[in-house]
Amino acid sequence: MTRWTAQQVAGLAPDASSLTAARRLARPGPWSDTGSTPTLLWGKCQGSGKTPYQVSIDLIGPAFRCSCPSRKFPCKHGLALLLLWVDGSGSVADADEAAGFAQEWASERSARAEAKAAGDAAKSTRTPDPAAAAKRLEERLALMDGGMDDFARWLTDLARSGTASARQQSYAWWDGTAARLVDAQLPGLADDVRSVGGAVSGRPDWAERLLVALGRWWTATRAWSARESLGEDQLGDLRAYLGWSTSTESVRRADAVTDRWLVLGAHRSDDGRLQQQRTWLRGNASGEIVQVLDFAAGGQVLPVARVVGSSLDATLARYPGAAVRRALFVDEPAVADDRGRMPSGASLEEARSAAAQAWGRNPWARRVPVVLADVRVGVDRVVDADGASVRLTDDADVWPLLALTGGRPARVFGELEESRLRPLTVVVAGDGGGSGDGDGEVVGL
Amino acid sequence: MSDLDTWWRDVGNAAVVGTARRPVPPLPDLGPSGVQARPAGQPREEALLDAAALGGAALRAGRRLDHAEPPEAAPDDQRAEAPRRAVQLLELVLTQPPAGAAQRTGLLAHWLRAADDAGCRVPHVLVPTLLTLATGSRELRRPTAAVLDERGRWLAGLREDWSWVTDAAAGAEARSASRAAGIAPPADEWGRLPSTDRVAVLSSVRAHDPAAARELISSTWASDSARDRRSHLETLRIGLGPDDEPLLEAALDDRAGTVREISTELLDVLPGSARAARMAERLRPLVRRTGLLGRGVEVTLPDEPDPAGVRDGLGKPPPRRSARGWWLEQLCAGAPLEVWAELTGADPSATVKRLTDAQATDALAGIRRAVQARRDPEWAAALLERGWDATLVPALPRERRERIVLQRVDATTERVHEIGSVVGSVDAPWSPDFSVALVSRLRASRFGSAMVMASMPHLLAGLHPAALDPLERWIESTGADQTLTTNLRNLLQFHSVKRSITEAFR
Repeated sequence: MTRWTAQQVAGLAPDASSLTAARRLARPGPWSDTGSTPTLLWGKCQGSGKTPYQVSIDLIGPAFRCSCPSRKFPCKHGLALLLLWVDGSGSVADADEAAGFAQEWASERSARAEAKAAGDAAKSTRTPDPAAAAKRLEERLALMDGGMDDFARWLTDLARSGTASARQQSYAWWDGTAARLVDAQLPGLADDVRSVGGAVSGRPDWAERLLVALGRWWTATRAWSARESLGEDQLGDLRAYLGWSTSTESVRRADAVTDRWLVLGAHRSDDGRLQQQRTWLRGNASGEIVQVLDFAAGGQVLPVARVVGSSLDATLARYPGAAVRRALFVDEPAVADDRGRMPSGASLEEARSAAAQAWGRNPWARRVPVVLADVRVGVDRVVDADGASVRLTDDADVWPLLALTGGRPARVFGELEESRLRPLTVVVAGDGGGSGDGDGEVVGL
Repeated sequence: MSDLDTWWRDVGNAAVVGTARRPVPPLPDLGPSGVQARPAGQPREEALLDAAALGGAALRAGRRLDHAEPPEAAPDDQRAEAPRRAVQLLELVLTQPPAGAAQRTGLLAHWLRAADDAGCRVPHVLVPTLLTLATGSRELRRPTAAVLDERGRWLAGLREDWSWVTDAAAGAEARSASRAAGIAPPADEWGRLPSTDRVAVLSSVRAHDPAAARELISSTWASDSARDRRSHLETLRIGLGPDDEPLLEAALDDRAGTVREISTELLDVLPGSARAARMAERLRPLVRRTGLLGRGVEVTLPDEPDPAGVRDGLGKPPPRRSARGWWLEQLCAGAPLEVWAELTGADPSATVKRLTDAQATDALAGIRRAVQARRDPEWAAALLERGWDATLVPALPRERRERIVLQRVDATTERVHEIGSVVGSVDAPWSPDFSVALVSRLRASRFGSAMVMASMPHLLAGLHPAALDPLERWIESTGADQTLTTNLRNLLQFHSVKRSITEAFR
């Protein structure tokens, strides 16, 4: 299997000092009995004590175990061993069989996972009190109904008095509205209100943005009051937008697909409160593209990003929804040996039209994944073979992309958001030149 | 403007002032889309919100694409990408510098030079990171520019803060071109070069074709400023030889004192020159053997020099120096060292001893300068027998140099403030034996920790990889001294990465 990059390892460190400490240890000196299989990495590290620490790492999870007393997780020994492994200079050799202590741990882990799965299954078969559940649902719906009515009234008031006067309001006014939505268990909608409210005062295009947002919110209130007539998929998309979460257990039980999934690209964002990681996967057999979302708040660490361009054999359960669907891994995916081929991609016009169709089915989707063929990257935009062009999002780091493509046509995977593109992955043509279907190097940005 | 655009603009206007003051425009005919307005009688504000929802969806999904010219593509690269292992090391140095952030520049510079020597370029994906780093630290600019190749230069051209690349790349190219061929630029081009670039060009041409460089200097000599004449003469230090004598001899008549000064300084390096012979001629009458066996020596101070003497450098003394003492020093610095055998009948070692006994300090100071300038190993050894002088060490052959420095280290194990200049007098890179021996002496010292700290820059620059094992063993036994452990570890990391970089380009 492909070894990771040093940057990926750095991304796992709980803090800067652990990483610094790990770098010091990342040399062959203190290590013995090291080795790796495609799934496991292990070694013994001589610390200040008499017995060396035993370090085992499950590369798929990834998960760590170390016999040292550190409370950091992962500890410096785990990170150091990864760095040593990544370094690839041969100090950690590939092995067919894991060392005893690592194998033991791996078996324990899988036994625990099975026990947990069995427990979960038992839990789900355990019938909860249906009467109590129905009562809880009724209460929640009543609360949401009330919140939506209230919000619709707020919208019509705003429409009557005009957006110019809304713009004069302080942020507290927007925040108050958002807080009432949170109380009515509509946190997703509340986030949207906060973010629009925060942007209206500062942006030159505020009037159109706010108008479009009003339309979006109004659509939500209409859709909610007509929810009896919505299909399960449409309701699923609406729920996701409003922030009414679907329990992972119920997702797991329904609509799972087993396929070989190509990791198309990934994006990480951090708004200071919450870190989010979106991973886009494309099913080999179905051709469907889904997103897996991971979140981390406070001191939590996001799971390691999947290697872009690699293939995973996995069963994914999809959340209810019509388009741009979210999914979760039902079980731990296995990394497939072959690197998948990136789909060949479309022109900007085709991509735009596909995105329009996706938005037609799910108006709540913030962004739509697209694979673009033969686009040339400029400093602030991409241009396709027909001369059609789309601007890049403000958060796009265009320089690596420019460096990799050099102004030549390349296949780019990214997200269309409003009318802009956020590039996430590029296929760099090999030395043979050309950018057709030939396999190039897939690079995550 | 289409109906739809007009409608959306009017919707926008109504939204800004509010439906209480302005009506909502009716929906135009949307033809095949099948979208129709709600039946009449709907409150205005709801009509506005409906219109906003519709318009927002249309904007998002129906907007036509812009058209734009595709950007200019980068030319094809000329060089091969650096080998895989080397690229990994570069990533390591860039993202998580081993041996601490402070040593990153040193390792990067080493990587860049190794890549340039191997005729490789940086992989495309790392170009932005490298450019950003080199923008922040000047010493990396030239080596960076040398390995960017077409793609990197193209990329740098797209960003204002990377515009330094153009100049640095031109410099790097001129340098590598002249390094490969050693070709002097045509005379007219030379004439137009700015002063700062001329010195760089001279230095590189001089290294390959001293005569061509000398001709460049002469070609504009008459019109160059005194300052340029001086800095051009300075470049003659590279590969200085008897052929340069006529130019230097002529420069003794220069109208600028600074130019005369540098030419006497350079002529001091040439013991076979006519000036050296003249200086010897002036020195001869001043030195007399004494004692029954002629084993003593007496040196008298020279009298006021004639104009020819002044021209040869017997001018005004530096502040607070006796004029006659200064002239003696100048004579000894300029005369061939061989003249002493003739005057004292003794070898350098004995001569130095006799001059020391005679307290001929001015003569010794001059001899010292001559030895430094001419790198005479025998005289350097003779002087070093009498007392430590780091500036004489480079004149010794490497083996002897390293031996004498080790002796000095042994003699000064408790003088931390001196260790830096002592070990620094052996130029990097050091031999394996010297490196290992030095590490073992530092380790044995009571002040090992402070000694390592004081000589760190030299250890980083000079240590041979052979000393890494002893270094590692030392780290294992450092115990509680955290500063020492950190320093040694950084040293170890630095050198092992450096060695890996060198090997990766083989």
